[in-house]
Amino acid sequence: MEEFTIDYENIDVAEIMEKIRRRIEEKKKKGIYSEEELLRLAQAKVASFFVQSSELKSDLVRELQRLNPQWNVSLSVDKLYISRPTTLGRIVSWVRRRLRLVAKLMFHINPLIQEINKQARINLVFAELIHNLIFELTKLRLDHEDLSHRLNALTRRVDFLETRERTLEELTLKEKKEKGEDGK
Amino acid sequence: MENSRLKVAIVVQRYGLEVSGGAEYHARLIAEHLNKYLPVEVLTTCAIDYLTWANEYPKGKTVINDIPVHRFRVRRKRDPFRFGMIQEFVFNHPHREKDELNFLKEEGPYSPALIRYIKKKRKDYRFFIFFSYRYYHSYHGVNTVPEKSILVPTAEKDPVIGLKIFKPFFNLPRSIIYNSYEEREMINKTSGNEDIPGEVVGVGAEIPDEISPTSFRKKYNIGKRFILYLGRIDENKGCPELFRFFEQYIREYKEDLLLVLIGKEVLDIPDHPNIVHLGFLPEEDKFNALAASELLVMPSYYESLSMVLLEAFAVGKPALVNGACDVLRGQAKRSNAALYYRNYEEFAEALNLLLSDKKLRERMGKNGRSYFEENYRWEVIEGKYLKIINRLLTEDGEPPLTLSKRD
Repeated sequence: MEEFTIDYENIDVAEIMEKIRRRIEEKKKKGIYSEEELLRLAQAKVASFFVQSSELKSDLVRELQRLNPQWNVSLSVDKLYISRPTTLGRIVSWVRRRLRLVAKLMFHINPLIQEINKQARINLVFAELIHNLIFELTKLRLDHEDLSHRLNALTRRVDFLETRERTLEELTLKEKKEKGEDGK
Repeated sequence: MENSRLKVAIVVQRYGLEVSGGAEYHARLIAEHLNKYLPVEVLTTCAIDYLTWANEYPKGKTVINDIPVHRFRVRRKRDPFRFGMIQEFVFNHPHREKDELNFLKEEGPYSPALIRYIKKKRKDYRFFIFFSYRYYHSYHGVNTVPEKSILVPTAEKDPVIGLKIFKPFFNLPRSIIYNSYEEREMINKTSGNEDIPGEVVGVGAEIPDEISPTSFRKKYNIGKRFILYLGRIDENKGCPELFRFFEQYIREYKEDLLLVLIGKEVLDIPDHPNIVHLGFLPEEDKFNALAASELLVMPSYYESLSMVLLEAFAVGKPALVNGACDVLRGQAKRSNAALYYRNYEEFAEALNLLLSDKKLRERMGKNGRSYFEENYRWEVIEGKYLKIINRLLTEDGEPPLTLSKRD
């Protein structure tokens, strides 16, 4: 692998970065790692680099429930008649309440309120469903990342062991051959 | 005082000793340094907080470091919901020019009084130097007095630069003072304003006469080697990525290296034994910290100049910067005093190289100091500003100003 030779009198950072990139590429292509790096890879608990999916916690549902009045639909009969908390608003509210009976003669408001409340409950169920889906998806993503890294580490280890095995075989054969030649 | 006929107004969104934003600090330094040669006044708002623009300073005239400052009230605070909605709309949907003007109004600081003052007093000032193109005061200010405008855009590579209203806007001022070559290229490309005279200037840095790394180590009880991050600890500054890379680096390579953070925290800092947050420190301690560090790390994706990087260069420290930011990468290449990364592998390799090679760090630090001396010494910056003003005066058939300092 390329060693760094730096011209300290004329430093060119673009050139240094190019060398760094070439070094990274070389490592990736050849799968070459130093003894130290191999030892580190073998010892590293890959999973600990990332959040464990089992450790994943989410407060999304609790947060959604807490903020329910801000995002969910909500309507009660009283809300239809109240106005601003000013003097004029209070007068308007009072008049509206007085006219409530007249309004009731023209249409029935309760089914509408019931339907809106039903929708609010459905929204809550959907919110929980979305949360669960996000939660599961995140867990799967973390598991997938974890497994990919384990696989990479194992592949590198296997490659290293294969190379080592071949070298040892060659050495043994060479030794045998040499011994045989000496025996002659 | 021959130059007294040339009163110059610096127009900026916030101004004050408590205001810590990059462009605002930049404006204050320029005002204080130009004031040595010309009478300078500052026109600004009563706001301190750039998120709310709430009126915190009293309106009217005050004096800060010998400079008269006129403050105008912001008519309404920023409503984050409305601003978020209109921002999303103008960035991602087909829209009209009117929507972009509404975006400017919602972004704030919405201070029509400031614009009215500029209109009324246009004859009292020879030039208006507007800071930060993206705010209400610059857009409407330059449109009010284009013939007297000098613009310091402090532009970053974000979606605001693509808004249609800014294309003609960048063609209005008499002159534009850029922070970097990358900023000039970006603005030229988006607005086609190559005909408007522009110069890359930037800003200088106030370096204390005495810097003591040991006093910093003693005061904050930091004995280990450390790399330093200076600035607001914010997502926009790339801090979460820095934390991730640093934690991974520590796991993989070293255990005795610290990441020291100096600045106001806007996001949660990971609870990690190798990450130390010292909060907001006085200027003196900041420079002592720089001198004590191995290098400065600058993970930001959007920078118009990065004064912190220049300060590191000034004290002879190398840096490791985010190569995804054109300006930071450009500064690194021009100075040969910083390495730049685009991913974790490059971050780790570059950091390893810098930490393991003292000679390289020293040589890069030396390069940084020379680059700073050549381009960002105050005499150089002041000279460039005065040269621009003189050129405009000559164009108008007026005698140039004298370059001697005022009494």
